[in-house]
Amino acid sequence: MAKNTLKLDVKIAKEIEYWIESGIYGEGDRLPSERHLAEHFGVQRETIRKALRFLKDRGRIITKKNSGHYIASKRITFDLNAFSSRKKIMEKTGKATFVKLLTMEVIQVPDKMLKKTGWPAGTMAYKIMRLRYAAGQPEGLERAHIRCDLVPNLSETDVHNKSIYSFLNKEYGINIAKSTTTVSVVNTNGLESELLNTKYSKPALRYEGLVYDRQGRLIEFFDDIILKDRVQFVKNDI
Amino acid sequence: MNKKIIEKKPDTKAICDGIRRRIEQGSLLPGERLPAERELAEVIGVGRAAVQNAYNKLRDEGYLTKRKGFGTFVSRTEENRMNFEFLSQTGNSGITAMLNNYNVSTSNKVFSQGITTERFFTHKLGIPEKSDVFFLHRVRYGDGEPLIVEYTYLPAEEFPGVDKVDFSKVSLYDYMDAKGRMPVLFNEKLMTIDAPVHEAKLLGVNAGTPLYYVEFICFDKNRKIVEYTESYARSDRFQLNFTNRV
Repeated sequence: MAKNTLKLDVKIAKEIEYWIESGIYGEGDRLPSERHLAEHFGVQRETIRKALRFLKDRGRIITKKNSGHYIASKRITFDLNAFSSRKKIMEKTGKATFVKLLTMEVIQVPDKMLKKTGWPAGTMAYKIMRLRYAAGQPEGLERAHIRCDLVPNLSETDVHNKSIYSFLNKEYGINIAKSTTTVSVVNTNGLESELLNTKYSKPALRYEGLVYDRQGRLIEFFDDIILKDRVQFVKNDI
Repeated sequence: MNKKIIEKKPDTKAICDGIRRRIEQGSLLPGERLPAERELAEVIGVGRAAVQNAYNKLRDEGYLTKRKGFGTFVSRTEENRMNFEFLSQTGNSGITAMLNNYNVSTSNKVFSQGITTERFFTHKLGIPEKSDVFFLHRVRYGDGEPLIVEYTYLPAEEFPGVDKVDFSKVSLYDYMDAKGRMPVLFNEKLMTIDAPVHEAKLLGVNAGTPLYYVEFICFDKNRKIVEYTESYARSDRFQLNFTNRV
């Protein structure tokens, strides 16, 4: 058994984390200087540096050269309790958001997707690729597949910068009711890197899901690539 | 590809083993492109046929995928990843139970435990400031391989004598269950971060490798907070599954 109390730098990092969580310091605020923090906690500068490193590694603060340490922007929250359109999730951040339609085509569902969806061979689907932006920066590449037979007349203007689910509800009476989703880490391919403005073959989140309506019909299969540092997922039982 | 993978003239099997190991360790990630056959053959000083055979073999095994005109990639299949689903409300919770579902034998290493009173933790646990918080920091292994680093905090007053328990031998959830305080409801927050140096070392991955970072607040059947945990889990070994209703 090693020690029976926490290391000093961890204690300090956790106290600063408390400042952030309790709102004493908000998004974008500058933390006191290292010197001030060292005085406040009565420790060496080196211990403060370690504590700040701890917070930086965990994405709590960012460091600007010759300027100081700032509270990092909040991540975009995917609330898994209340599954809603990805467009609405973006809007909830309070930042300017935009969901840009890249391509929309009708495809015959490939074997791999048939396996995942259980759709019968020969099923036709709209393949809709959209790029989501928050505060002017890309957040994720969305690849939605929606069964054609359920929404025979979907057009490009229906899906550009709009919530597809709202449209399905309004025009086709489809009520999205449930989803099963999987999150994993993958490396971006050439197209994904290009669109998301990252380097080739960088780790990103794959957010994959099956979306059902109230009657239990599988409406959509999606396979999104999300920049891993911009989002978090939250699920609360209470 | 690092030149040091294989020093001597390797045969197909050695090349396969080397690549497989790198995929399993996460230094080659799903979707990552492998060097061209000729390039790798040159780097490790073997004939192209040996590399070609190795790539073909790994493709048959599902580790690699060939995309015509683009090259060979680590398969993006998540089939070899375990579901990180230990938050079952049916009583069969815990990482031990989760790993046992995959026929993986589990073990733990406690690297630090004790008492703290930091208000970050008392606040998370919903207990008065300056109350004692028991902390338990562990590495969780599956088949001897480090998979998850867990920093767990319990309200010490709710678990008298907890600091005397040897949690390298006793499962935390068995202990909590025995006290009638089994976690059954969970609030969780999940994200990915690049592995900090300390956690990378404990997990045997390179610093900067993406990890899942998960925070849990756990409640017992009376909806009282009994645990707060911060987990760092290897993203090459797990995926996260959710079912959500609107």
